[in-house]
Amino acid sequence: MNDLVERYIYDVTRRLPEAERDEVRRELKANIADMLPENPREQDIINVLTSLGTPSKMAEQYRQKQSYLISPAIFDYYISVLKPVVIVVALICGVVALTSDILQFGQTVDAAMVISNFTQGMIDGAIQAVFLVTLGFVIAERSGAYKSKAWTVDRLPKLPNSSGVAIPRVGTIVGMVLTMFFTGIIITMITRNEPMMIFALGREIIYPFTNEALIRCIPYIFATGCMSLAVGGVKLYYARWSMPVCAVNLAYNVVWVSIAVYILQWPDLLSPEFLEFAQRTFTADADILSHISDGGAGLFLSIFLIVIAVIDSAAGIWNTFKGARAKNNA
Amino acid sequence: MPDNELLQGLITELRRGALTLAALSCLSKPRYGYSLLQSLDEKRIRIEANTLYPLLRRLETQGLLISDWDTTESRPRKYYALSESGRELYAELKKEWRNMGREMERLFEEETE
Repeated sequence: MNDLVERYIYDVTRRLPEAERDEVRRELKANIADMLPENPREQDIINVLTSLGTPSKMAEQYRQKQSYLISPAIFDYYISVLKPVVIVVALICGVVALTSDILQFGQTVDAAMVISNFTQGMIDGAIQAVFLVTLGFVIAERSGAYKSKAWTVDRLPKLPNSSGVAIPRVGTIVGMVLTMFFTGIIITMITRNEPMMIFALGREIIYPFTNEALIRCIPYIFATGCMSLAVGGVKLYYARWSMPVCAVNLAYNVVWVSIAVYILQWPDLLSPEFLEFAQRTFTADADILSHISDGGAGLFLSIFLIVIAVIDSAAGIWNTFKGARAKNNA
Repeated sequence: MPDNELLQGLITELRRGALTLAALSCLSKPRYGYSLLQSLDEKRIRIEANTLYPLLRRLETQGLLISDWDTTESRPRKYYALSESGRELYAELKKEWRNMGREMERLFEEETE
């Protein structure tokens, strides 16, 4: 306990830059010695040190600048950039991680694998995004990018269109990136003749689609992908549901569903071996599934896709008129 | 009933600027840290050791004070005193303080009219 004073001084000076430590140490030692009687008892020392307050506070007083990683002035801006970037990057990395593994030959797809791959990808992506955004801001601030220059009224932002239901940017951007990603992957796989969706059941490996049909799909897939990106662009530009956005969305839904239904009607879409496999496996079971073998699968799937398209269009219409009504009431 | 914590916080804010002036006012002759602390305490200026000691150091970095280690006594002591520019600055600050005092008094009078 004799070294209380030394330990106090050490606890203060270790928080200071190296250049300062010696001098502060000498000063504090002299000052504390002055505050103590000639032969101080332990209690005297304790009293004096307590009256000096916590070492971290003392060190903070000695430091010339406040030490922030990101200063209060730009913190809000930092958060407002961090949030959408991390969400977008996390989602994209999750999907990429998931699909990269599925595309490996013979990888079985089950719920556990999907969840774990996706989560892993999301977490990795999120961590990297946070790190890089923070690093960017730290560097930018210290290099003087945010020093307050003289402010003029030109720098005022434009008013957002305050009427209408907003279209979340993050969702739109994620959708666009995923569209590009999947469109690219699928077209690449088809052109490279890579196995599409193998069912590896024990001993059998079956390719559900015929290659010729897949190759004919390519222009349709590509066109749909481009249209999807265009719709995304429109949504980003307008940022709120309105008549033009609604119309574009509706038109796009009509187009892609028509294309999908058309493709599903192709007689040569499903490979013979798959049809045979389906016939073998499912005829014994429920009636609905037996339709797969006679081409009814196309109908089933078509109805499903049409329902999705209708729901999406209806949601867009609903949002548009909800916004219009709110505007009229305002 | 005024919120005591809030009041204390505002009082600290109010006094913060005055502390530099108070410290400077005692340094026309060289003083060492603890004696300055005692001196201010006698004059009922409330200032804590962990504010005063770093303050002296900061004022020296800013060129207002000069320091000197006295190693002749049994214990080495660091003495601070006003520098040339420190003297000038102190005179300016004193003037400014008196101006502020007058301004505030005027405000208080007007308010009661």
